Amino acid sequence: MPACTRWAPIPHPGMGHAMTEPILKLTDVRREFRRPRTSLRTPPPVVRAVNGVNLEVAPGERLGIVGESGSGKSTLLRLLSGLDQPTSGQIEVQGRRVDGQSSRQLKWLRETMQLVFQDPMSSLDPRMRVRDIIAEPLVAAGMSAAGKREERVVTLLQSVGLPKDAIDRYPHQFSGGQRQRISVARALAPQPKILVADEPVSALDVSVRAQVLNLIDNVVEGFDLTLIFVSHDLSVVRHVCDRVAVMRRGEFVEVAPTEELFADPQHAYTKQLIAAIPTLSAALGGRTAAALADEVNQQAGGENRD
Amino acid sequence: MGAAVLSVQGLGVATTRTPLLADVSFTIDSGERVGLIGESGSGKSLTALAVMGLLSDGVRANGTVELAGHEGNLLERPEREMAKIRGSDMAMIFQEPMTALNPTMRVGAQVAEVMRIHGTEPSKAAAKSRAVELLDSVGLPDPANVARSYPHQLSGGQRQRIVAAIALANSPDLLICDEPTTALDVTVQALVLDLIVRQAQERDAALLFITHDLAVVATVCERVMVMYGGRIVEAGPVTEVFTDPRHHYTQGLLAASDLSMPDGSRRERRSLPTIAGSVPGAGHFPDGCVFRNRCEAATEACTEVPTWHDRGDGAGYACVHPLGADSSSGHGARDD
Amino acid sequence: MTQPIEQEITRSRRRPINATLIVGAVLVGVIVATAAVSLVWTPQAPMRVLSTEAYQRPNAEFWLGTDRLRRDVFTQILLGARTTLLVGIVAVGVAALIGVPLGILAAMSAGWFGQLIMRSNDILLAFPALLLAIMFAAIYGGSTQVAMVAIGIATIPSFARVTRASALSVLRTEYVTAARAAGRGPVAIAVRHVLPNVASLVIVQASVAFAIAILAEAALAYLGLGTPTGQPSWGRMLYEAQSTLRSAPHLVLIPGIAIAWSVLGFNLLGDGLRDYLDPKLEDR
Repeated sequence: MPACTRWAPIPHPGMGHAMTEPILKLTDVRREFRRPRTSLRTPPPVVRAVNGVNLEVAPGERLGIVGESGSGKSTLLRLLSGLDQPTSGQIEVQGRRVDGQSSRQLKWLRETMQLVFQDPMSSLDPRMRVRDIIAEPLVAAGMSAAGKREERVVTLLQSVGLPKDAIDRYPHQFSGGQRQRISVARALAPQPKILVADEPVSALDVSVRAQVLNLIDNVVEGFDLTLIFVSHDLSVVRHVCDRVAVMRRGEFVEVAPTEELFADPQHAYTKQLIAAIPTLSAALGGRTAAALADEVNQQAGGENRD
Repeated sequence: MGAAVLSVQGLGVATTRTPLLADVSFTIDSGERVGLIGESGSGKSLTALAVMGLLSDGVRANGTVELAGHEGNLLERPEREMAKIRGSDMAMIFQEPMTALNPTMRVGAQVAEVMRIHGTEPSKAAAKSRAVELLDSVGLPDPANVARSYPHQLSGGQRQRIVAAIALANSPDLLICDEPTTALDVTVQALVLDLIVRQAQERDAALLFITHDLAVVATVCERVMVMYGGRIVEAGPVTEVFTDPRHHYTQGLLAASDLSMPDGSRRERRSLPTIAGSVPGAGHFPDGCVFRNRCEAATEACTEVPTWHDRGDGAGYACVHPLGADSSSGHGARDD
Repeated sequence: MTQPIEQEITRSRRRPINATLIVGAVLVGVIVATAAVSLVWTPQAPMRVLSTEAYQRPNAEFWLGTDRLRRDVFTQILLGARTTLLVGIVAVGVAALIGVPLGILAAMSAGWFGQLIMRSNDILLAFPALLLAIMFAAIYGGSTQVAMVAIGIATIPSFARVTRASALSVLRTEYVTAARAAGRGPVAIAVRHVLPNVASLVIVQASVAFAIAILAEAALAYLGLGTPTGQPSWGRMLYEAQSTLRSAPHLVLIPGIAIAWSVLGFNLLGDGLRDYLDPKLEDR
């Protein structure tokens, strides 16, 4: 089945810049990893983690990237945030190249693009106080006046719904949801244009997940951000994003506006993913585990494997 | 539906200082599939471990746990006897299939081992060939070849099928699954769920299915128990509990977890309903109703442990101000 | 913009103190106290030859007896505690000050440089500490200073290894990725993130290395290669008493007990600290 390719962004509703420059542009991006040799005679096997990805994201857009484990979505994130270098291809943020730059040359990117990670425990240094965690991007950006930094940190804490006295505490004194708020506050510190969220709610309880999704929604809206939201959970992506890219084995197999993707998925893999989501409404409507598995098998055709 | 296989009455679990579970009571009949849902820290895994007699040192259980075919209270059995029951009459499937398997042993040998331990298959050769049959029955392609592999050579879904095969090897009367698909991809999850339900049905086993995912429990189970703060706060048939919840926690979970509308369409993006606050750490739940510090309807009356209200049909809830019932009107305001 | 909905923040949990830690701390504390006392008071003038009988058993005047040269054993034990601690501090200090930065450097430089550090480390590790110290003593002459430095150098690899292993795991965490994404350079990451997070393991390693250093010094002194005659050292005391093991066993027993005491103390302290500083116990 041919991949449905709609690389161009959909015009952002309510904003008059339908034809503006993309804020993020990927052109045939590839990243190969060499596995350790398994034999002295044969060359080491090569894994194509990202295999020819093209993408344009408009300012203010909310793009979801969906894929299962091993799909290459984490590698793609590292590439576009300049934490890893592509084997080939071009990555541009606001028209400036990200690939092939040294970390010193990427200082501007650190202020333009910020990340929120999956595990709210391991993404915050356990031995640092919240004050220092949130101020870290500010220090890196060269804001040296401690008083000014402190003021900014307090404002940020308020904007993510944390009390002011959180500033002197350590990460382990917070619940998972609160830690994710700290992560978001840190990400907002350098006033970025793009927020990249890597599975930000996968490690959270359902009751807290909704709180964090609301928070992300609020800050994206309130700070006028572009959102790149990576998840394995299609239903979360559907809730958050305007457009979804479905990734498998290093490639985008389908990119489409969210509702279009759900209403009329084109690629077999997308269909399979959508079919596999257990939903409350379908289950209460009588969809059993057997029926769910049947649908997945049907969509998969012959190529099912765990 | 058959006779009761597992009967738990007034189960409590505590460390020397902190109570972790209180007053947990339920029964599961043969062929019945019961879900136990709750967020992390609610005590659902602890319930499973207490039933299996796998609590760690320094954690003690009281109450009664009875398993069909075994006289008396399992909690009073010495470890040596429990070891005989575990793996034969009751078995467990864990969340993380990688850590549940021995990385240095071929998987076929691991399946054969449980049958040898419990004397189900007397000879080594018979156990081996039976293991291959089992691997075939849990849907692994080329089972003879899989039996010779090590866990790390298999994918997550395949490993979970191996874990299932080990749990099912001695046809247990009770199968406990603790978040069996949480670590798996969503397409694999669908297949593993199907496998678990099918295998439990074939053996007419009682299934206790633990998960935090409401949609999964609704897909797999016919009855559900909602756990919070180490107590069962609501229980009943899945359709009843999920469409007409009485406890505010159940309702909050339902509202927060389903991102699509009842008709399956996309929910308006702004402001998902949330439950205020977060799950407290063990020992920090309020006394009386464990949910009252996060509940909008909480009043002075909630400082007493709420009694269990029977709704009939095995359904019930523990709430002073239940939803849907008339008694809740007039108590809406919070008592500060 | 968002209302604060998660107000309760858990209070800082006290870390559990374990029995091993307490016993270790008490044993070490006694040695530290002994060394401290020796600075201001000793029963007899340091190393003075007394006008009394040699080989006295412990008695009211000489609490731990006298040795072959009619010196007070108790005084020597007090002074020896100083030597022991000094050797431990200097040896562990040298090892940690060189080993820890090397370990972090090796962890952070992925290419040939990191490999070079670790392989030279392996070579150094192949030399037993004692052998290295004997070589040093042969070249520079036997003295407490040479012994301390030699033991320290021989201990560098173990520090570098422990540091590198735990630095690698710290470098894999998301908070380091987050710091990189925030624009932090490698030096800031090493100092602000890696060092504080490997510190607890280094402390544990230090207390174990301390015990090894004490043993090594005693062994060197016993071989006559460490602390020279006329300076107080528990190993030296053992060495001098070996010929009279039968006639005056207390001269062997007393410094032997002192050495065992301190080694046990530092080992227990290390084990206790490992549990005490375990971040897993700190999490909840």
